[in-house]
Amino acid sequence: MSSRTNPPADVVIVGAGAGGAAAAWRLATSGLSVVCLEQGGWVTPDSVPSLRTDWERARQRSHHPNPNIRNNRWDYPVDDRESEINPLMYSAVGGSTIHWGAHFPRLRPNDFRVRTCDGVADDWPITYADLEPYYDLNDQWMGVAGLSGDPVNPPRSHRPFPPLPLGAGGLRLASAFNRLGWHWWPVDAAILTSPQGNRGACNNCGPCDLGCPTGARASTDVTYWPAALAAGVELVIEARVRRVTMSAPDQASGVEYINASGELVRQPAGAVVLAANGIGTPRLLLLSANADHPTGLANSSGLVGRRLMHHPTALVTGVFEEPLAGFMGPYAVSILSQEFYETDRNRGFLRGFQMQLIRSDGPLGAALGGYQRPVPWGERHHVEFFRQFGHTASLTVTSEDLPDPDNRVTLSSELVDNTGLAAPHVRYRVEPNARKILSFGIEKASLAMREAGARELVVHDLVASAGFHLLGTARMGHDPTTSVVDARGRCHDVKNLFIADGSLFVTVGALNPTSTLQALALRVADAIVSGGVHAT
Amino acid sequence: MPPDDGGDDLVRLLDVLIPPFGGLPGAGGLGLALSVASDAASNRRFTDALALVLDWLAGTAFRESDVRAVEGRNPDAFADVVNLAYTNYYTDARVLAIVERRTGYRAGPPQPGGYDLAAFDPSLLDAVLLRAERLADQREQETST
Repeated sequence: MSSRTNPPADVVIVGAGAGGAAAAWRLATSGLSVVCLEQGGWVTPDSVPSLRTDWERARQRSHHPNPNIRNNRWDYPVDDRESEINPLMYSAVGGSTIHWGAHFPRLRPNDFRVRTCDGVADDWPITYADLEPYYDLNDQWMGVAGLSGDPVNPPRSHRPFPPLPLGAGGLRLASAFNRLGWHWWPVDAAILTSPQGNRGACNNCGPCDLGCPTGARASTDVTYWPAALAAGVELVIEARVRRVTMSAPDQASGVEYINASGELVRQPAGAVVLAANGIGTPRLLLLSANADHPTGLANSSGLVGRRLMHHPTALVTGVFEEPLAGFMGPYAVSILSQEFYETDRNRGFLRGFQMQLIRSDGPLGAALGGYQRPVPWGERHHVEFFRQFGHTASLTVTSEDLPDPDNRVTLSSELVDNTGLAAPHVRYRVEPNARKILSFGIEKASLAMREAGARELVVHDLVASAGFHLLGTARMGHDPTTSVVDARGRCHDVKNLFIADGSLFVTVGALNPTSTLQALALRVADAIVSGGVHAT
Repeated sequence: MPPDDGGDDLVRLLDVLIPPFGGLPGAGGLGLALSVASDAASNRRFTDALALVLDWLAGTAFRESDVRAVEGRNPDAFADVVNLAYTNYYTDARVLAIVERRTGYRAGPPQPGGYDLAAFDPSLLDAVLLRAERLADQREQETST
């Protein structure tokens, strides 16, 4: 294998997704030279499957959210045979924001204080207030449709774009929540409802998860990246990073990667930022084991890869007599309820859950079930198909997921990627508290569906294919014996190695993590700037 | 490994999974065996699943009960075969035209047409805000007493 060494940069970032893009922009506009390495490539707007008649087939094959099914060239396989939930991710400039639903809530203040509030898990080393200015900044970059004034959340910055339409199903459930006296609110969505700059307005087409050719649904290739590139970031695509290199036991010197030509390239840098998210980042730290760090880089606590959290999710689908046309509108964003979010010890569990309205799907998605129940095959197939298609709405029960050190990412002894690097192995079991939450939540979601007029309920106790959120595998903390990084995202063991992704989460609340993940990445970037780094 | 054209057994299986309906032949009669076999050949997991299911069905009469028995022997492999059948059936233009006629769903790509983006009515939230005010008042009274 031929090899070469690039000129040094102040900072090298691994991963161009949600966190890496935000960090790259912040660092470059602060005057640092930045190289970002991304294992995937660019996704062009005209390649989005929702422009094609075979869009539903693409979702099942070439654009499936599970890399083991999609098996694209730059994906790495995930050994998930010991996981109750299948991890999902995407490799491209924009990372998993290319394929996300754009639900964009913030964690709540108590989510940062779980130990203090409930005596379990741990408190974060930072508070909601520490993160709030970064949430606000990130909102501006991603573009948020929604409505300020939710009474169960802290006041937040004005939402410049009005909420998305609730849809017929959302209206029914909102009325049901009102009659039950339960909280609900239109979701914050990283989707523009009117045009801004180079991004068009949402046209309510539905399958946000396949990409958005108008740019209405935010992904960092259309939000942060144009500005980051204009600020001078060098973005290298199709670069598979294989390890962090070291110049001393506590000093990283850069990274090594395999480029698109199969060449080994060394990228020296004054600081290294890992932004490969909750599976890719611990995988890389473990792959970077050396004589000084025999169990993996930055792993003196033994916590690299441990405490993986996903947000276990159940789904209650109501089948209604009248058509709801749920195939119209962004699939995952309409309304949510946080009625049962905080701990009530009378319920027999700690913490709680959100209920999020899910619209419905195209004909193939409806037949296969997706996150819902498949239409049965055989004599009754067509009757059941037309009874359900366009007549359903669903509520998720998205649970708090308390950290368990046995839920972890390690290196697979059997699977490798296409460059021969060990694939990640994921072991994950839903912890008992979350099981109780899901059971209680299913009862409540079923009650809401009946109140909304559903004639039949279909309950999915645990959605195995809902491993969207990959969190907690390099947690923050003050104590080097019980955490991987400090309160500013710097590894305790390696003073110029930072993490800027979902691995940082100490606990995960019961809300979608992307806005928090990006706010953390911006804050980590500021810590790097204020700490003063320079090219080696 | 099924034959390239899927073979007669695959046609029969597809017609059991998705029988004739509303003027359309079943998935087998619609001529989807070739596309199902081709789809299966693109992925080792699907290839193996289809071969296994057809092997177990060989020599049976392909009654629904025969197919259900095979489903019971290996539900995961069978689910992959159902995925193949549904994927090729519900992306066929003739089937989508029927779905469109019966439901109002617009067959074709979601973009660039999309659908209307209706305005949000904030009065829907009156009940939520009123309840929050009441709870806040209640908490204030409890604190003051």
